[in-house]
Amino acid sequence: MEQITVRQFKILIALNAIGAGILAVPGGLIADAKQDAWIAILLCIFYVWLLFLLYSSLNKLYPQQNLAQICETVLGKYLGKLCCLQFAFFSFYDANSIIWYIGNFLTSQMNPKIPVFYLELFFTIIIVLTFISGLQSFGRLAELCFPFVFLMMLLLFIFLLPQLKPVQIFPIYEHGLRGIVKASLQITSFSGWPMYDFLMIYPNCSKKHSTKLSTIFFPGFLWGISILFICVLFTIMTIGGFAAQSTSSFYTLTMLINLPGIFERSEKFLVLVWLLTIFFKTMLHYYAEIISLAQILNIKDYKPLALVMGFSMLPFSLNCYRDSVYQGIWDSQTWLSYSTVTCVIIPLILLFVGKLKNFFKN
Amino acid sequence: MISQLLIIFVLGAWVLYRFISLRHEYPPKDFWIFILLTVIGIILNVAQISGAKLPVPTEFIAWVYKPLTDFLMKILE
Repeated sequence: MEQITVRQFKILIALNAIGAGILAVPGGLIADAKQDAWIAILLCIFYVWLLFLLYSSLNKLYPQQNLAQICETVLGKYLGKLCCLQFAFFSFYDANSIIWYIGNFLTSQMNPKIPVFYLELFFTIIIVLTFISGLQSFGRLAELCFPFVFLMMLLLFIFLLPQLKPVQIFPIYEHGLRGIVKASLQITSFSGWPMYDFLMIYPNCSKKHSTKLSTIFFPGFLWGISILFICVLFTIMTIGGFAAQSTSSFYTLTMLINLPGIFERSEKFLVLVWLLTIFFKTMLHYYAEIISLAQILNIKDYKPLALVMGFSMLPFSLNCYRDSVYQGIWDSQTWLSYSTVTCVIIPLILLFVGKLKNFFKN
Repeated sequence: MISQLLIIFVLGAWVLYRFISLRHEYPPKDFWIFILLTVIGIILNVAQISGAKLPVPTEFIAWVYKPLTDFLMKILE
C-alpha cells in the first residue's frame, strides 16, 4: 500500500481547507455577516473541531479501514454500497464543480477568448495523470508546493498592509448572531465538511498506532483556515461591504497592490496560488470518488478506474451549472443541505450503528 | 467542434487500446467494467460536444434536497 507521511497529510488538509476559499469565500461571508465575518471563521473552527471528533470516533471503531470500507462493514453489503454511492457522487460532483469554476473564472476574469473545453480538458488530464502517478508522489508534490503557497500569501498580505483601515471592523456584533451563524455554516460547508475525503486515504498515512486522527487533522486544518481568516480580515479592513458585490473579492482586493517597477499585477500571483490549492482539493475529491467507486464495484486495482472516470468528468464539468448566477444561488442554498447530509449526517449514522453493533457484540 | 471530437476519439481510442492490450492483467469483470465506463464516457463527451441537451446534475441534486434546503433556509433567514 502506498504511504504518505503525517506531515504530508497535514499539508494536504491545509491546502484542502484553503481550497477555493481564498477567492470566493470573503465576499460571501461579508454578504451574510457584514463586518463580523471574521467571527464566522472562529465559529467555523469550532464546528470543524466537532466534526473531527466525530471522524476520530468513527476511525477508532475501525482503524484499519477507509470510509468506503467502513460503510460496508457497518451497514452491510447493499446499504453500505448505497452509502458509498452517495460519497462517490458527492466527490464526483464537487470535483466537477471546481473544474467548472476554474473555467468560468479564467474566462470571465482573465481572458474571455480561452476556449473552456480545452481549459477543462487540460485540467482533467493533469488530475488523471497525477492520480496514476500515485499517492506518494501526490503527497510529495503537496510538500513541495506548500512553502510556495505560504510565501506568496505572506507576500500579498505584507503588500496589503498599507491599505488596511482597522476601523472598518467596528462596530462588532452590529447585525446580530443570525448572520454570523449563517456565514459560519456556509464557510464550514465549503472548507470543513468535505474533509471526509481524508478518511478515504487515512489508512495510507504512515502514523504510529497510538496517534489519534484529530491530532493530525486539526493542526492541518488550523494552518489552512488561518490563511482564510487573514484573507477575510484584510477584505473587511480594505474594501469592506463592497466585497459582498463581488464573486471573487480577494482577487479584486489584490488589484489594489501596486508598487510600480517592483511588484505589479499581483492578482495573477493570487490566481496561481488559487489554482494550486484548488488542484489539491480536486485531486482529493477524485481520490475519494475513485476509492468509493472501486469499493462499490469490488475492484482491487483502482488506478485504471481513474483513467476511465476522467472521460466522464469532462462533460459533467462543462455542464455542471446552467450559468454563474445559478451557481451562486445553488452554492448559497442547496450546497449547505447536500454537504450536511453527506459529510455530517451519514458519518453520524455510521458511528451510531457501529457503536450499537459493537455494544450488542460485546 | 471537429477538433474537439477528434481529441475525444483519439484519447478514447488510446484508453481502449491500453485496456485491450493489458486485458490479461485484469480480472474479466474489471476489464468489462473499464470498457463499459470508457464507452459511456466517450458517448457523453460526443453528446456534449455536438450540442445535445444533457441534464444538468445540479438541478437534479437541488430537486432531491429541496425539502431540507427549504427547512435550513427557513431557520437561517
